[in-house]
Amino acid sequence: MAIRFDLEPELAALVQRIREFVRDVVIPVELACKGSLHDAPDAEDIRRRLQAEARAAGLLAPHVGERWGGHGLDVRGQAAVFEEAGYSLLGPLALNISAPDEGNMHLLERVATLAQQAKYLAPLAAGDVRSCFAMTEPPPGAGSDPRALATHATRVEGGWRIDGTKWFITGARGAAFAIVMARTSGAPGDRGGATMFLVDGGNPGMQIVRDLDTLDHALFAGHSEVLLKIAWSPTTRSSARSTAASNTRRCVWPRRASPIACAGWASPAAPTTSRWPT
Amino acid sequence: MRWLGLARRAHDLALAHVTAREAFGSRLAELGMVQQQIADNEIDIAASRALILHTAWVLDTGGDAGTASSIAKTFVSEAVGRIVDRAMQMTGAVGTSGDRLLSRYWREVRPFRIYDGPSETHRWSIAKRAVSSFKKRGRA
Repeated sequence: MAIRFDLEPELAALVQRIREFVRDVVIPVELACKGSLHDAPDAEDIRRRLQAEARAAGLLAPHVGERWGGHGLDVRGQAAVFEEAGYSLLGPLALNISAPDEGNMHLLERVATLAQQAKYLAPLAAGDVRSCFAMTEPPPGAGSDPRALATHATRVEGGWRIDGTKWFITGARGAAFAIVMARTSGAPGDRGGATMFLVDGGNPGMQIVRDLDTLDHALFAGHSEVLLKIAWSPTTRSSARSTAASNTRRCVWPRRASPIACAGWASPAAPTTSRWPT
Repeated sequence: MRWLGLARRAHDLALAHVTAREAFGSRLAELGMVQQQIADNEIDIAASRALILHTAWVLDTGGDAGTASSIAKTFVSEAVGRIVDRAMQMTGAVGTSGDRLLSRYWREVRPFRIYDGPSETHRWSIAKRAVSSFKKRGRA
């Protein structure tokens, strides 16, 4: 049996439509802004206009399931579609498949509860809001070695308290919510013990300290340093469980295009917990 | 996936330049050292896509994609950097300037070798799995 590299007709047609969309709609915008919306005062307007065009063309968030407005692509389908969108620096943003939102959608679609999906995934997939993923920390915290995770979450009456500093948090400025990686057990250097928390962007305990000046401009809103001094309101429903030790070195960031396994995200309400993706 | 698309764009921008620009009595695209860079870009693009497709196949068929995804991430992030860098070399001084998107692309692709696991940790993982697999097999 021959190995097949050709795309089935529906996928080939979708890729062709994206090729034309990028050529006709996205590249003119990219040329006008020289590939960078980083310092553009109307960046948010441009993002919304591009995504409105993609929505009208049936191309917004093509990777998510049909119930969230996408095409329910498998990884091979994503590979073909993402490559074509990437032909312009602004293509992934226009199609709402840019980091970190694309990975966060993938994560929420796979492991979040229905209530969490309704609150966080639905508006994210629709392009109504943006999100961020807060894992990386300044020294001596977690970078390439996630075992160094220093941000910690402790139970307080009726909820949780999260303390830590994150940096290189892509898209943090203006994000409607953050998925925050925090330690609920163990100490920096230990394996496992990490939990993901959904934190609303309006939480007063989550403050942007500064925006880092980086080589790249393409990821919307750049990369920020974020201070976390979050106290959960006792009125916030909470349910969390301790996490089993897992091999944190194998952690894969959700912003990456390949799937993540995060089956431990089991609690029914925010804030919620998960094992490290392995 | 997405950066492979941008690498293709950078390569196309370089092709547009070397097929139009004349120097040393011919188009740049007819010079052997430029042709080598064109071919090397084509090779890196094809190899990157093949590794991505293989990893997608492992994931879509429910396999353990640990090694495949580390290999793909390492190779593609480095290949994309090579492709955009060669595209800049072929485009000459103007490619380094704000007159061309290439200079923007060159900046954009560099962090890809660092985030989502730098090449070093992926290589570490690949090597450890290879050693572990060999030990299980027991002999050559």
